[in-house]
Amino acid sequence: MMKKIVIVSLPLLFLLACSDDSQKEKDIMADTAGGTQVQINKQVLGEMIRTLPQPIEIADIISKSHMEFSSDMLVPSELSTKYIDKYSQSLAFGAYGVDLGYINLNEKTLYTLEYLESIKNLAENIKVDQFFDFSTLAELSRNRNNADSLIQISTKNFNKIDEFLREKNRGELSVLILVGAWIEGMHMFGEIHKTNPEVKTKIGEQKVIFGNVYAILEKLNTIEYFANLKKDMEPLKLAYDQVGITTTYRQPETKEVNGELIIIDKSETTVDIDDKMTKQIISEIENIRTKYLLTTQN
Amino acid sequence: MKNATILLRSITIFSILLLCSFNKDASHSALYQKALTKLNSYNLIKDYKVYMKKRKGKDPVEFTYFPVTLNSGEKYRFYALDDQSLKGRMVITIYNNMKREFQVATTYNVKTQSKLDAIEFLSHTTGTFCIGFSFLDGEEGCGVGISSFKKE
Repeated sequence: MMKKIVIVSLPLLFLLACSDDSQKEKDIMADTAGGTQVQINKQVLGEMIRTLPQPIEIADIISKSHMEFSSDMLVPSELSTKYIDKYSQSLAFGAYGVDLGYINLNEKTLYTLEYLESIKNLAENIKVDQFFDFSTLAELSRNRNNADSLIQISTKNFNKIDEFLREKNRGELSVLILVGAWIEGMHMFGEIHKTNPEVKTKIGEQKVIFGNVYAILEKLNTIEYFANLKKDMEPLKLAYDQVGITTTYRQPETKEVNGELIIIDKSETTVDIDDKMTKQIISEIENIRTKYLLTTQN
Repeated sequence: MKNATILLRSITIFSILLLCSFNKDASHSALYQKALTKLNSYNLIKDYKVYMKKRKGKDPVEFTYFPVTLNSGEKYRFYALDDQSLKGRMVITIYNNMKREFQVATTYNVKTQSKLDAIEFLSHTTGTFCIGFSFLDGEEGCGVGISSFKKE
């Protein structure tokens, strides 16, 4: 009798397990490697992660500032083997992601292989290398005309990694990848500011994104690494607190062209930021970047 | 022998159930590949895989929402591809924030009762918007939404 129950119940149990999307939302993340319980709802974490920009978006904004390409702005590729734990490796992975995007968008494929190698090292360490077909990427990097394909494949891979990490209750690493990307992007803005002071408005606008970064670090501060990173970001928060952003929402202008809806945003954002505030933000970003991305023993 | 027969029957029923159920993962994967071919002069940012069952009776149409952060001065394009073997046609709606205070755009034109292919959005604000997906009339649907930004 018992055997019959088991035999009949097994497929049913399997079916239930396969279709239980709502239950997934209630899952609690567990940092098994560190033994730390992260009491954060998977769906909430997923939503928060989606408020952070992707490495390719950051690289794009930097590239559109029309500053001459400079490899000095990048995290040195040789540091990729020096990060000692999964948290610093994830943070660096995001930063290298922006660097790779910046290289590809500028069609500087000479550097692509070097930075792909760095990303490969880190991907292996955080066990997501199965999403990168490095030989294809390396082959593509040999031709400047393949920059578009490189961008698309890399972005696809980053998205798959994010999905995979969240699915496997390792969403905190996804967070660090995106935070690392943001730090690297802000550092690049700082470099651009040296020759183009107009970029201060862009730096000021990033207050919105920084708010999202800070909120997510706050949510995860039961993990020591996150608590330290958040603490180290407090001076940056104080700097951003001085920046004023006012958005006036207006109905956008819309028109239909060839079956597509074209929307022109009529809302207006005013960013109140002066040179002193800008310099302070840049300086705080450099402190964080130096400690977490250039000093590899944290 | 009796146990083996029961086991065989269970496996058969289970296999039939599996075969009859809609394979959303396979559909998402195929739609995603197809969607990537439609990027044209845009770069991929994110994909959104959505599956919804047919609404029950007069239940309201179900939506799924995601935050999406946009940057001022950037041109974005949002589009969706849906599985034509199901009745549900995928609709994208964008709101000004996650509280959804007002609707910025939608691919469904209520007046003409027609569905548009995509939304192109030139943003003048840096902020976290909200992107919502639904299927027309609450029909069962499976689709992939894509957010992308304009190449230089």
